[in-house]
Formats: sequence, structure tokens, C-alpha cells
Amino acid sequence: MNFVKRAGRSLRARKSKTAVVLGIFVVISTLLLGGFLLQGTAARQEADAQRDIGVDVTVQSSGLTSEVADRIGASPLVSRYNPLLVLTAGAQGLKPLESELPQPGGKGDDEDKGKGKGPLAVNGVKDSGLLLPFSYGSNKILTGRAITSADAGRKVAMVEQRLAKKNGLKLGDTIGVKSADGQRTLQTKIVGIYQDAMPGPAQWEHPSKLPGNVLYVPVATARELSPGTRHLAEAVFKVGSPELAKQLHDEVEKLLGAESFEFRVNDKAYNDQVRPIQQVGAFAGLIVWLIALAGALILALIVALQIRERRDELGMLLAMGEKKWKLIAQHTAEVAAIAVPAVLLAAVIGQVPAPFVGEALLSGRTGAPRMTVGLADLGKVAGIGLGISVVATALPGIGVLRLHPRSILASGE
Amino acid sequence: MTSTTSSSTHRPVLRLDGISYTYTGQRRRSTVLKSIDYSFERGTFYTILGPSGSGKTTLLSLASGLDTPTKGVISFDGQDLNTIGLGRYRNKHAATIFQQYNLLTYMTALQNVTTAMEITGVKPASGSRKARALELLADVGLDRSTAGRNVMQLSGGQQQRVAIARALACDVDILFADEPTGNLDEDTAQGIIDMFRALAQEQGKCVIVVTHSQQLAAQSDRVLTIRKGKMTEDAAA
Repeated sequence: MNFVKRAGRSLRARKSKTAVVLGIFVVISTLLLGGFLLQGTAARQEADAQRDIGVDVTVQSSGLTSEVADRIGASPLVSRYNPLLVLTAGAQGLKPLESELPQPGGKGDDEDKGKGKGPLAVNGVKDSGLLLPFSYGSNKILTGRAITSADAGRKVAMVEQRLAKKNGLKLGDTIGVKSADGQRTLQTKIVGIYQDAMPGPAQWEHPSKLPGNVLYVPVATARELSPGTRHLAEAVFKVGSPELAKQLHDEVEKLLGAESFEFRVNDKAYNDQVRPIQQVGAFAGLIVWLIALAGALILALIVALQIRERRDELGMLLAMGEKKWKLIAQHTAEVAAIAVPAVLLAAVIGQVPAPFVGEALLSGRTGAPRMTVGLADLGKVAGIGLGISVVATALPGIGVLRLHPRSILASGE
Repeated sequence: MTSTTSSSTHRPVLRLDGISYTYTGQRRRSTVLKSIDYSFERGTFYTILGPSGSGKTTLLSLASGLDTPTKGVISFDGQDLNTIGLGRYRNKHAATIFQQYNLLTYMTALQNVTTAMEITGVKPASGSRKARALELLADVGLDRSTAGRNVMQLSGGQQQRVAIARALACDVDILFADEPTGNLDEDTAQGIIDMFRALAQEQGKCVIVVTHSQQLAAQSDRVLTIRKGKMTEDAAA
């Protein structure tokens, strides 16, 4: 291992050249680390975005029941889902909103149009946050909370603020609703008051069609008003990406049969927010490879120049019978010995610009990006650094293998 | 001309059989050595004389395993150098003192000598490599403080002496030298010549020196002259 000793002596003796190579290596390592950090952060952001934003798939079918929705929702492709059971109900001790516009054609029509209908719309849901009006923000919760899967079977409700205002309702109050036929009643506790941005209709509508008269309750709770109602208006399933939505389509087709269902994919939010993150990640990946390639070439050129400069030394070592592979190994050891402190320096230096780069490229998508140097990133940079050392010395090393001591030493005569 | 001897200490060590060497340029070929036959013996101090460009250094390069002849066979202890392997031959059996010193410029004088011992795998019978290296450097007139200096801080003569100490450190069978006293003052040069003689006569080494110096040649056991590609042994030697 005397070549290692020689490498150490050479590095110590050639301090200025060692410093230049160290500087280049630090720059390469910092850029590589930055690339990896960006790639890693983009991947995390993408995963977060897929989970948080994802793609909403709305399924409508005459064959869609809660059981079918549960089976689709149990698919590993689906992260969250929400079946929507729509019923009308009557109010008990509660004054529903009424259209302020006159009813065209008189009261009789009203009776015809509202035949069999209560003035309230009761929407049975599993996870109200998945409903488009809530996920897009046209509906906002003003106080309290949404209906979630944890509320299954509980007697809780979310009411619209106009209904709450008219009846002086607040969180914790209990409201009563009764089935359209008046046979069943239900007492629910208000856990959330929301605001629907949609104004009242421009023409007379039945009270159950007014946005202010919509109540959200858990599906099973809604079903108590109408046990015979199995058909769901729709079900919304959240999947990670448009690609997964295609896979889900195949699964739904197996359950419901081809052409008997409507399958709407809403991937606008995904495309608006996730695609740019994916592009940043892909760009970072490309940058990593470009830097690695450029770094290897730059260092290979430097090592090649050094080898040319040190031809006499190589010739002398060969004249003493030193093996050629040990000459290459000496140069590799010299470059690799610089790579180690360079990676450590890069780890320190890379911490400084990382948040700014992350902020500039990834902020405002799914929250503040977290860009921190981890051991895995350092390991990758160290691995690539070592790879660059090997490549950078292997290329000029081909020249060393062709060296002949006589030709090197005779050139000085 | 072939040297003959019946003494066991003077048995042949390096044999040249029909050695020719031709330089091939872009436009012409130039044959500098023509069918040279010679047998070098252990325990003998040789000098090779000849005008500039006569092929002295080329012969030295071939005999020391730095290059291969265009024609002919060189054998060490009866074995073709190509069979031994030129690298192994240079590593275990031959050491060369170059006219241009060819020291490792990022090392001290001492490190140059110990590095040669490490590469050739020489382990002193007693003491450390460093102690042996210091001893050899002292033998060529370089004290401990000079031994610890980077070779680029030494004068040409001092560098020449480091190169000699380095070659001696390799403890080989044949020592080659190309103008080893060219940069030395008279006293130091004489000291080196005495050392070469002692190596041959006391340690049984074969010492082959290429030189222009008639003074050096006069003190060698045998004088060889290369002229017009042929090598002849000086009858007066």
C-alpha cells in the first residue's frame, strides 16, 4: 500500500493544486447535493400532494349502493372516499328557508312540485371534505368541523349558516328532522356550521333545492330516515394520480359492468399542483446526472493534465518496477482523498442555499418545502463523488497503461 | 567482444546476444546498435564510452530493462528478460541512476530513498528502512538535515547523490548509471567512483556506467566503447 503513502505525500506537497481540486470537488458536491435535495424534496412534496390533492373520481350509476362504494373504497388505489346518499326530509321544530321569489302558477303547483318531498335536503356522507364544493372551497366551514369517517353512525350534522341564522342555531344545538313520509324522526347534534357561497336561485325553487336547506349527516344516520333507500347519488373516490384513476376505472368496470356507470375524473388540481413538482423533480434528476458527468469530465481533464505534468515521476516509478495499476491507484487515492472533505464541506455549505432554492422552486404548491441534508443524500453524493474519482482517474489511467519508462525518461535527455 | 572469466565471483550475470536497436522516425529509420554480443559479469565495474549519439544511453536502457531491443535477446542469469518480465527485472535485479536524476519532486531526499526500498521490497538486514536510507545518504555525503529537505531545494550535485543513494538502496544485482558524476565536484565524484568499485569488488555487484569521463573509465575494471553501432572492449583495460 505504498501508493497510498505516496498519494498522501503528493497531496501535502502540492497544496495549491490540492486546494484547486478540492474547490472544484466542493462545487460539484454542493451542486450534486442540491440536486439530490431538490429531487428528494420534490418527491416528498409530490407524495404529499398526491395524498392531499390527488385526483377525485366521481362514480355515478344506477347500481351504485353503499356496499358497492365500500368495495371500491377498499381498493388499495383509494386513499379516501365518500358515498353520497341524498334524501329529502321534513323539519321538526325548525323553520326551513323558503324561496323569496313568488311561486309561479300559485300554491297548487308548489304542492305538485314538492309532492313527497320535505323542505330539507339531507346528504348522507362519509367524509364531507371530499365533496367538490368543500374541496374546491365554494363551501367553507365557519365554525365547528366537517363530517368525517369517525362520525359513522353518530347523530351529528353540519348545517348551512343561513338556516342556522334563521333558527338561531349554534354548535352543540340539537335539531330534529323527519322522513319525507313523516314516519321516522331523527335528532342530530350540530357539529359544524358551513357557508355555501351559492346565492339563492334566481327563480322560485322548492325549499329542498335551496342551498341553505342542505344538511350533512353521516350516511348511516341519513339511512335511518329511509332504510329502504340503497341507491347512492354518487360516490367520490380520492386516488393518488391520474394513472391510478385509470386503474380504478378498470376495477369499477369489473364491479358495475362496462357502460353502466359514469366515471368522472377531476385531475385539474392535480395537474395544476403536482405536475410542476414532478417537473422540478425530473429537472433535478437531469441536473444531477449532468453535474456528475461534467464533474467527471472536468476532474478527468485535471487529472490528465497532472499525469502529463508528472510523466517523469511515473517514468521513474515504472523504472523502479512499480506496477502500473498502483500508479493509477495512487492518482485515484489522491482524488478520492479530496472527495471526502469536499462532500463534508458541501454538506455544510449546501444547507445555506437549500431553503432558498426550495422556496423558489417548490413553494406555494403544497406548503413550505423542507430541504434538509440527510445521511442518505450525503451517502449518494459520496458515492457519486467516489465514482467521479474513479472515472476521472480511469480515463487518464488508460494513458498510464500505455506508458513506457524509456520513452518518458528519454524525453528529458 | 565477449568477456570470459573462470572466477566464480565473476560469473556472467547479463548477456547480450545479437542486440540491435533501430529508431523509427516519420521519414527515416536509424539503427544505433548493430548486433552487439557481450556478457557482463558479477563483481565487475564497467564503463561504456562513446561519442554523443553513439547509442550508449540506448544500450543502457535496453540492458536495464527500460526498453526492448529491435533484434536479439538479453538474458539475466541465463533467463530471457521477456520471460522474467521487464517490470520484475527492474524491480528485483536492476537499478538505474539517470543523468536527469528523476527524483520524486514532492518528497524529501530521505523519502525518495525509502520509497525506492518500499517499491522494490527491500528490507534491511538490521534496522529500519529509514535508518538504512540515512546511512546510504551519509555514504554519498548528505547529512541528516539535508536528507530531510525536499529534493527541489537541493543543488544539482546533491540531487545526483540522492539518485545514487536511491539506486544503492534497491540492493540489486546490476547497477546502471548514466553520467553519474557529471554534476559532482572532483572529491565527491571520486567518492562515488570508489563506492562503485567497492560495490563490484566487495559485494559482487555488476556496475555498468555510461560516461564521457576518461578519469572514471580509467578506474573501472573494463572499458567498453560504442562506435558506429558496434561495441568493443578496450584492450588496454
